[in-house]
Amino acid sequence: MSNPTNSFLKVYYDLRPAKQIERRMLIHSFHELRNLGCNISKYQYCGMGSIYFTDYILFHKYLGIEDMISVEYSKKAEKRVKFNRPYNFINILHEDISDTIGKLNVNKKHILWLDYDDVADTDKLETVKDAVLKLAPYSILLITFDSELNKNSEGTYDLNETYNYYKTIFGTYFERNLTIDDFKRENLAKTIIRLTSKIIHNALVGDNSKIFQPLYSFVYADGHQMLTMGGILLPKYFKFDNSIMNASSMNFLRFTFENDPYKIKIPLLTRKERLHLDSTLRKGRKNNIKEFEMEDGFIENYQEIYRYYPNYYESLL
Amino acid sequence: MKTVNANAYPRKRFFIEMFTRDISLEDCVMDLVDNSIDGLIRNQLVKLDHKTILKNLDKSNIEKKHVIDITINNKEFKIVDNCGGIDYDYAKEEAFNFGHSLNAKNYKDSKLGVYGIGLKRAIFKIGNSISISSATDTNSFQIDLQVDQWVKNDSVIDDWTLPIVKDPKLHFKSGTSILINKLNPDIIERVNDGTFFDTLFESISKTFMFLIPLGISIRINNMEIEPFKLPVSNIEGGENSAVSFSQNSVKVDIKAMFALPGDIDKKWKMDISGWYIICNGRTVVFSDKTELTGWGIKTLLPTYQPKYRSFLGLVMFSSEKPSLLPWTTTKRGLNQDSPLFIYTKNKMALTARPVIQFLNKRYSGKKEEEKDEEFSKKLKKVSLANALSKSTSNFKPPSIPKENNEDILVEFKANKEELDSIKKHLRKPSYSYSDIAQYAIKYLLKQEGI
Repeated sequence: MSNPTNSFLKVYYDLRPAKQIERRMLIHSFHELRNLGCNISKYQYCGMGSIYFTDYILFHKYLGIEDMISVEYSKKAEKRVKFNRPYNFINILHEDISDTIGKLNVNKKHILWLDYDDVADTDKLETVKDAVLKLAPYSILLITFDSELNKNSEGTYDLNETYNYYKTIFGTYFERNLTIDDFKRENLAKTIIRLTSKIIHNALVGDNSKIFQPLYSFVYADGHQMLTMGGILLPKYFKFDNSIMNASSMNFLRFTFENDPYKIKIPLLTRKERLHLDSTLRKGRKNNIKEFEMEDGFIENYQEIYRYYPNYYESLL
Repeated sequence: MKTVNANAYPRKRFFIEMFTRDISLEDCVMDLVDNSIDGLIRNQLVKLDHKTILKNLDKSNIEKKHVIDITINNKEFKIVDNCGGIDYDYAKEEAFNFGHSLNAKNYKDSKLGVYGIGLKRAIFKIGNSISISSATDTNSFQIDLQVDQWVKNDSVIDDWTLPIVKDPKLHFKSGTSILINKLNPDIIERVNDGTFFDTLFESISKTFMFLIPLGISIRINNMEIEPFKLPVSNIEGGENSAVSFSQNSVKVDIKAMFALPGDIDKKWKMDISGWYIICNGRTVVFSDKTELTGWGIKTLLPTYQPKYRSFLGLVMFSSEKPSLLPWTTTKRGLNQDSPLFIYTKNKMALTARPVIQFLNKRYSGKKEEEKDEEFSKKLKKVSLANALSKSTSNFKPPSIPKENNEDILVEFKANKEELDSIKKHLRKPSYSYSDIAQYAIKYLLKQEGI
């Protein structure tokens, strides 16, 4: 069984802007899933809240979910986790998430977020498979992994080590035609997402009750390069059509894991610059900003994510 | 240019060789026992559904209404049953064909699998002088055959027939008798090799462990074969792990639990640990610890190790249509390409996972024997029917007083010089080498802020 790294002890989780954009994009898409008939507010959210519970606060406020479980493996911070719980209705479980999955109530629909803060390993991949087997149709599954193995003593990533590591943990899901190039930083997330999707697919072989529709394939880096993949389980004969999701307003969606993931990039802007852009940018037209220098692509990048851009303030209280 | 025809005839000798080489004598006997049991089902004398099987398990003193009586020695091979018999028309039109013809569909719907391959294989493998007689309630037949004579005539298609007598005078009803004399030399040797009977008894005992309790008596040389007793258990104050589902008219029940340790030595035996897979009551896979049932396959189960020796998993497939079950046509193996089996393997891993994780945690420390005693005290001996009664349950482990089971015993070789230099550097001459290693771990945790 793996030992989570207790990364909450190292990184201020709230201040991961790319992660925050990801959360808000997810929330936007969950609203659109209502068009499939999903009553999201009645779902159970099961995640790994740590001591920050950021996703719990957002999902409760913006989706109305009240049935919530947070799973935290570490016994070292039991009191701290409980102390920081933002809402009383969040049920905190101190166990390995793989145990929680075994006991999930299959009569409920879930949003299950396997939000790991470290790289994939044998145990985590087993948990992914078990989750797909267990979840009921219309449930949403999200998986987040760190993609990068630790830097070696020279401060670089050893490509060979990375290749061998993933070859070992993916076992029969690995592909012979994969090369070291597929594990370079620019390709790493896509490769891992594709291999993991084979596990999801395998869990559904012979299952006459459900299918998996991919929706999310993100790559971002607040520190290490992270990836998030996910989608929705649907009844076997559901005719899914991208247009149901109003996908044109959400170009971060990915309906297949074969394509490049959506890269969350944040142009660093001051508050004043942002307000200016918000008030002047026009959709569908070429925008030129004369008031200050902008790097190439910044404007387009900003236009894509402006709705989700987090604001951080320090305030004197 | 004139077109002529090249020969492409089936050759009797080829079929005989093909049939007889790839199967053991034990499997031949098993096939014949299968046929007898098939007869019971075909003649609706016995039901093989899940409920009936469960109800009858552990019943003692069941009246053994159905008898399969086998005699094997170096002069003769005989199997006689009262399982309903084979219909004359079926014997004449279909049973002895090498493969099913197109109009075989009337017979295909009989409850269990392929009919006839086992019979042909057995008679060709075992001996030269064959006599088959069978009687149903309505008709009967007899076939007598000298194999070496029959093989000689191999030039026209009519040579591929057997002489059959309708409604001969038989001294039994509602059953089948197969008698083989002039046994083949390698069969005689096998029968006398000292291990054959033991292996055969064990195979039958295991393969038919759920069916014998339905009132079927299987005897070899007048010795009754007792069904193998699966050492199932319930957890005192806990729950086994169980999952159940239906897919395309096949019902699947999966259970993961602990075996009861041996009565006398209180130890678990690895040879009965692992997965058991039952199809319509017939054991197809026995105590499997290989990749076949998911061990050592990524995202399924870890590689099987001795620490899992108390693990016992049971998968029961049942269906009114045996062709839907994921077994091979010989009913001795599993069809690994079957989507149903792939799905079931995934579910097996899911069901077993909490049990395996429990065993991983247990055996991470020292003092195994003490732990074993404590653990086995929490396992209750129960009837099979009782252990299998709950179709779904979440695993609840036995509550055993927790010692610090987060500790793992670490053993490794280290360079003495290096250890000595660390000892010197730390200025702790009293430290043992084990102390140094522990210090190193604590140091790393602290330095890296882990």
